[in-house]
Amino acid sequence: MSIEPTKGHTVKAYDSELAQLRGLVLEMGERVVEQVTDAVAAVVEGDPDPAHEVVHRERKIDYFELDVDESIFNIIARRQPAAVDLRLVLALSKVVGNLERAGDKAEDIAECALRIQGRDGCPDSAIYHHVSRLGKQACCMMERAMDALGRTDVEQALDVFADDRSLADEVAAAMRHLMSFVVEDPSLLSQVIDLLFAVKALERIGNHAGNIAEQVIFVAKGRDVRYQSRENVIAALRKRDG
Amino acid sequence: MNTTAEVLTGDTGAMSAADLSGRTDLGATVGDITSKNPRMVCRAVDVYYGEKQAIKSVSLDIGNNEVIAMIGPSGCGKSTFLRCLNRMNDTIPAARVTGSIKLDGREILDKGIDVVPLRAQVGMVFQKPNPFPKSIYENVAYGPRIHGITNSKAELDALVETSLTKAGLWKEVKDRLGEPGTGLSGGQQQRLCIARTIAVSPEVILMDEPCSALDPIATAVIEELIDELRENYAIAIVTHSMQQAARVSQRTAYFHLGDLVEVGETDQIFTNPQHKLTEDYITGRFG
Repeated sequence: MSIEPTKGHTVKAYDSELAQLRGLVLEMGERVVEQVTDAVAAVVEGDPDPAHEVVHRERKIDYFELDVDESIFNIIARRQPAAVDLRLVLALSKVVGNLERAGDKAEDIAECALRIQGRDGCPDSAIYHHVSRLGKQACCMMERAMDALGRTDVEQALDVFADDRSLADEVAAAMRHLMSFVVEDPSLLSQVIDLLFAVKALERIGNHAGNIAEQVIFVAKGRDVRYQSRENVIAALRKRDG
Repeated sequence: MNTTAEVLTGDTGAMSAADLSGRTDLGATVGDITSKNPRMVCRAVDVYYGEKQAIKSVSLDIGNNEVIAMIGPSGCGKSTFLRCLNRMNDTIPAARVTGSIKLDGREILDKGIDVVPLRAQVGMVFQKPNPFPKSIYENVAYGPRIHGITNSKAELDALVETSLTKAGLWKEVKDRLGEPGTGLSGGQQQRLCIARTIAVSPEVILMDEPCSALDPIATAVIEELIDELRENYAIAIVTHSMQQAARVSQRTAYFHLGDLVEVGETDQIFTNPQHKLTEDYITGRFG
């Protein structure tokens, strides 16, 4: 994935600095998706190894954020970016914050997995179905958001908004279903509570993907669409470009 | 605060040069060329140097109490356009200006216009400070004296003090008004030239790269002065420094090969320019 400017800067070193910054953020996105995938696998497969690895790697995600922040700080100080460059740098600053928080959520899920594995397992594997399904959905959203960022693809970003809506519906259904396990067997309460935490964490990861998609629109269109109805944004931008 | 629809579509109902002239070619200006409170109104201004057309149908308002920055690569016509605003191009034999430029509703391109009072109303500050080889006092007093603005020595003294004060120079020179203006530092000389311009009660101040010969501290002092002068004058500034344009102006006009490509609020031009050429220039991908 790469975010290609329309034409290089007269000062080639500036191009290199922006390319390095973009590369860092995109790599961080890939690492976060890897974290979420492994954390979900730890829950669903009952395997403690990936959970321990996720917890161990979390600090590396934090270091990515520090590196990106330093790079942005230097570019602003030395290059005084303007127009699309300024929008890109500011957007990447927000994207990296969202990625870092998504990384934290992956760690939360991994810790849920370890707690669940420390208890007696649930004989019904259906209890893990929702986490598996939502995990795939959240990872897919994050990958699409990062791909949209890499290609400054507004259509792809709008697709992420639509995914965010369906994720919310899925989460509501998952929570109702998980609670039904407790009704049937109150001894599963601890497991279900952990699974509810994992489901809510996956919902937040999807929300972070949506926030990243908003930044793609900011870079591409110069429009700040935060805190606006996603439906209105989709309708207005698709109508305008269509 | 713009509505959601405006934010998303960018449709603010602004008037473009194309709206006014019916031009629909690629050279039509993007953005709103008008000012809510215009002091000068320029429409379809063409400038020729002999056979060569240096300015192509430029329409633009210069607003009261605002600074408009004119930017663009060398040879784009920004200084040529600035010089039209007080008919400085008259001094170039091969130059020909057509179209309409009105100052307070009065056409300044009419042949019958006396350019001497015009150039007092529309003063100019140049790139290189050019004080007269006279005392600091005389540099400021010269204009009011030849224009007959004051009636007595006391009035002239007061006007010199007021002009130097407005130019932010009074405290630095009040005890040495008899010393040569050329003995001041570069930044002080430029402020002296601004005081000289102010002294003849202009309505518009034109500045052609006023800080390009100054160090960053002197530049900052001039930029602060420009911001203060905005309260009383319409100011048009040509600058090669995009950061200076961003710092001092409320509107920015981008010129390219004689066309006025885009004009808009400075915040918008530097964060979300609408024309590709403007964006390439602003971001350092062109020029």
